[in-house]
Amino acid sequence: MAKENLAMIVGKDQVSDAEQILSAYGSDESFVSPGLPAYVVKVKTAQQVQQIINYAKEKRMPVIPVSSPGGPRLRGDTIASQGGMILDLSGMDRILNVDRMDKIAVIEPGVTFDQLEQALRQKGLRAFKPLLPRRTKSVLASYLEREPVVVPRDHWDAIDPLVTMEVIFGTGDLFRTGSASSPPADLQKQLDAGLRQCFAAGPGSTSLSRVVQGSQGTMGVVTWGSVICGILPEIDNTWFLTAATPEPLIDLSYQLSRRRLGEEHFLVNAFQFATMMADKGEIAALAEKLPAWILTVKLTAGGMLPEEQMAYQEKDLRELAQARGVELKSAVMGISGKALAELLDNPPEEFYKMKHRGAFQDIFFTTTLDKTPGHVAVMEEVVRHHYPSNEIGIYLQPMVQGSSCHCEFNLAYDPTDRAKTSNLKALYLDAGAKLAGNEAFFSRPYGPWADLVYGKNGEATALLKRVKKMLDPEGILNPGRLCF
Amino acid sequence: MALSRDAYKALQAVVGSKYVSEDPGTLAGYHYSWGGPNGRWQPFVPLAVVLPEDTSQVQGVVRVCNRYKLRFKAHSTGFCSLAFPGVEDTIMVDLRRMNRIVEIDEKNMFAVIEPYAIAAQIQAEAMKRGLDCHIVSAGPTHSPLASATSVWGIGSKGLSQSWNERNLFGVEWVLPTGEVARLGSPGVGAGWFSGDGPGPGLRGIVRGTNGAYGGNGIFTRIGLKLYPWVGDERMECTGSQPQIGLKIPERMHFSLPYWKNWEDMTAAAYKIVDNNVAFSVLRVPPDCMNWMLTSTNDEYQEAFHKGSVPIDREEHLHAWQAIIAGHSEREFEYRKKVFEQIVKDTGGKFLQLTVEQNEILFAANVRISYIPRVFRPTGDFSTSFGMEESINLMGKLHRTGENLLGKYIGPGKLPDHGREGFWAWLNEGRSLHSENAFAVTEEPGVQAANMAYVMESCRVTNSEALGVQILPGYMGIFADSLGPANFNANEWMRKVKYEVVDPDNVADHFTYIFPEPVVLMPTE
Repeated sequence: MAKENLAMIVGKDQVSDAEQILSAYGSDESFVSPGLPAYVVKVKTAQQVQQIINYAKEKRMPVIPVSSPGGPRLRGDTIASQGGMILDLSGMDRILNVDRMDKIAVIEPGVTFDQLEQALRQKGLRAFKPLLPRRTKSVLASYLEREPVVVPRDHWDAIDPLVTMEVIFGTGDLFRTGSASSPPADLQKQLDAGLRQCFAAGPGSTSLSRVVQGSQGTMGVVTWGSVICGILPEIDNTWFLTAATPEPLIDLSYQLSRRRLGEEHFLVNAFQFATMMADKGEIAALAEKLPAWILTVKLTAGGMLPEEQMAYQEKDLRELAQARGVELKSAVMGISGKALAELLDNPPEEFYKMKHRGAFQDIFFTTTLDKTPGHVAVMEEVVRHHYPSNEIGIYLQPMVQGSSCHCEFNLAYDPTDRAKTSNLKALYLDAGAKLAGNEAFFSRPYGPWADLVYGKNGEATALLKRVKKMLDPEGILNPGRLCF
Repeated sequence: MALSRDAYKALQAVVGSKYVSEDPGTLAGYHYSWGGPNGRWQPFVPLAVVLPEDTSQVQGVVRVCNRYKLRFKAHSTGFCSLAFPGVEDTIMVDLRRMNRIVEIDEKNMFAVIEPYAIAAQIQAEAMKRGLDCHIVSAGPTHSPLASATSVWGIGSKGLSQSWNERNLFGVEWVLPTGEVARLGSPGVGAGWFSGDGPGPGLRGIVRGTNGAYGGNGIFTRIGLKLYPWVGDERMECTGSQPQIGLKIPERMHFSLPYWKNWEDMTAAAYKIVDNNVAFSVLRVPPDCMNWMLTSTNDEYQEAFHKGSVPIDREEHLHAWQAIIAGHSEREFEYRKKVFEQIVKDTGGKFLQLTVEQNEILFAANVRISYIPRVFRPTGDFSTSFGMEESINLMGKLHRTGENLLGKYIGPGKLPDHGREGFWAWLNEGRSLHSENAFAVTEEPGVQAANMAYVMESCRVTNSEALGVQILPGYMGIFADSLGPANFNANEWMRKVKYEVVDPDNVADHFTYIFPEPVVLMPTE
């Protein structure tokens, strides 16, 4: 009966209960327990989303929104732990507007980084991307998950690069946030009037987009969003700064953030760099030869007097590096800055973290850059005797213009080796607990990390539950996630 | 209703008898302010004022209010009537004893502050560390905690410092129910560097374009983002009162380019942000610049009638005040050169001012000290067309505002101080902040014209598709008029207030959202 009702909303061909289809959503790369949905429902319009939510509300049927058109899915946040339906938004893949002057685009949830990047380049713009996203990753899903972008200079606030959104809450209400909420309601008419959906806060004395962001689909379903973009540079030069320990590079990173020098910059250890750059089977060998820590800085120039702009930036960067006894390099172990820049612009088909052993777990949290050596020490202690410490990939991404930092540990493993997988699972849980005890802030609490954070902060958790009740009174949106 | 002796004693038990007062002379200071709809004496006298010294005392006061069915109103630096009670039976919670800068994290560029740490104090400490704090239009004596959590939070250095809604990190919040919630990283004891998560960002119910002006509880501590400052650690004052300036530091430059029309000025703005060459870019109405450059109203009037004011209403109508700054000499020279080229390419010219005049305007831009001069002509002002949207709307915003305001100026209506008070600046290089400020007086006819004009401006911004309102914004009685045009934002505010944070309506709702809709005038 449910299948017929759902088919009446989206069409018969867009609803499936075939086991083969359902099983594709039943599990993912995380340690979250598998769970099979009853249906996969593909939608094309906001109106359909609204009708589906109203139907699910009436039937108390879980709805798990999924936007990316393909896997691998990584975090367990799209597993139907309590059954219900996968609401597949990947068919909503239109780019509704790109504006060069205001450097902003309006996109639907199924738009991938690949797709957006192509559209932006035609207008002289570029997307703000996380580090080597998988090619099928939904841009809006990435931004809604607060995945860090490699451009700390332009990351002013945690909500960036997301600006405004159209969202359908668990109540079934359609809402617009920020300046997208202003009349006229018709998006095209807004654009024709010169409005660009470029202001994130509000409307009024709430900014519900902040509540939707980071909610793992538990508060509402986003049907389009505006996202800020960067200007495609005329000249770009990517430089490496290397050191045996992270401290001098951390110091440099702070200086880069303070001066807003360099468009992209991030810090990785040798194994992370090798995992990004080497072919399968050559990762460990390359990692051994690389400097222990590598700070990547991409300088860009464009607009008026680009050569002069690049020249002063390079001189300033060189001076900063020299003052700290760090050499500026255009290549490390034969890998040029240009090669890395090209890779960052065009991520490979295979998701890079899968390359080394076929599977991985990453442990990530928010902290400040100066605290990261302490977190690295905790991690090394946790893995002692359980995992080769020289095979931990470490990625440090300054965020919010350097005021905080995404700290990530990547652990590759062979999923066919049950003993090692089980060992890694225990290590994963242990590391999370110990890092949380060391002031790591699991701001994106996937899977078991939710218990780590929500148990610690009772009043904010109670407040969050009341917000959930307001936006999703029947609790239909992705139940079993976070603290709901 | 009088405050019961039991309630009074309970408040004394929380904060100490020295810090509770119901003395009429003291209370008078908590219901006299500019900016109210009925003159300076605000309609409600608080029952008592309490001065807590820390979060636990704030919590204790809120619990007393819950126990004795009282309301409370949080008050820090208190810019206007919004900071005073809007309902009866209110305990005024004056946070002036909570005035500490708890920490400045120099590396990670944020401060941890209490409600009465003022911007000037934070700025002075930050500058010693090569940092600066965002100062909103209310000026350097304002509370950044209040502007980040509860009020508008906008200031003209937005190009390099965003605005305080976005500068808010960790939050400590005494809810109207008496619980203390810590949002973001401080909630798990990880520091004050983030206010978002774990999971959803509850900053989104703290505030939006506007805050709740105390209507959703009391914020007692926050992490506040700071920004790089390339100027001197201690700024050198020049001139003498009231014409105080600041010596312009090396690697900083102030100028006042102007264009023939809004379109050329807009074109220049886009080039400035695309080339990332300016520290701040601000448009100030010519009259207001002249107020800055004259020391008294009389001096201004005399110069105006002689035609000797330095800024001409017509010729310098389309002007930016711009500060260029560079972290290195090379960066500074590059930016200055490109900026000058942009002005030239877009048909602009530079207005030549004296060193003293440049220093006065530079100081006003760095310290955001325009506000006393905005008050000077009549002692009061109001504002409208407070929008935040695309830079391309600048000309349309100005023309629409000017035309509409003109209809309300005249005998028995608004005083004539020119038809435009259009302030504008570039925010992060991503949007334009604008507002049309204008002088008012306390006379009933003027106040009536003010209210009618403001409501009509709200309707016009909707009908002309000019963007979303920040000013005057969703303050209590306006919320139900504005909200229906913005996807019923007023109803979500009502749910947040009465279902999520304050089911018993203990925090004064007057400036936030009423329990039931109050529609002054539809704006759709």
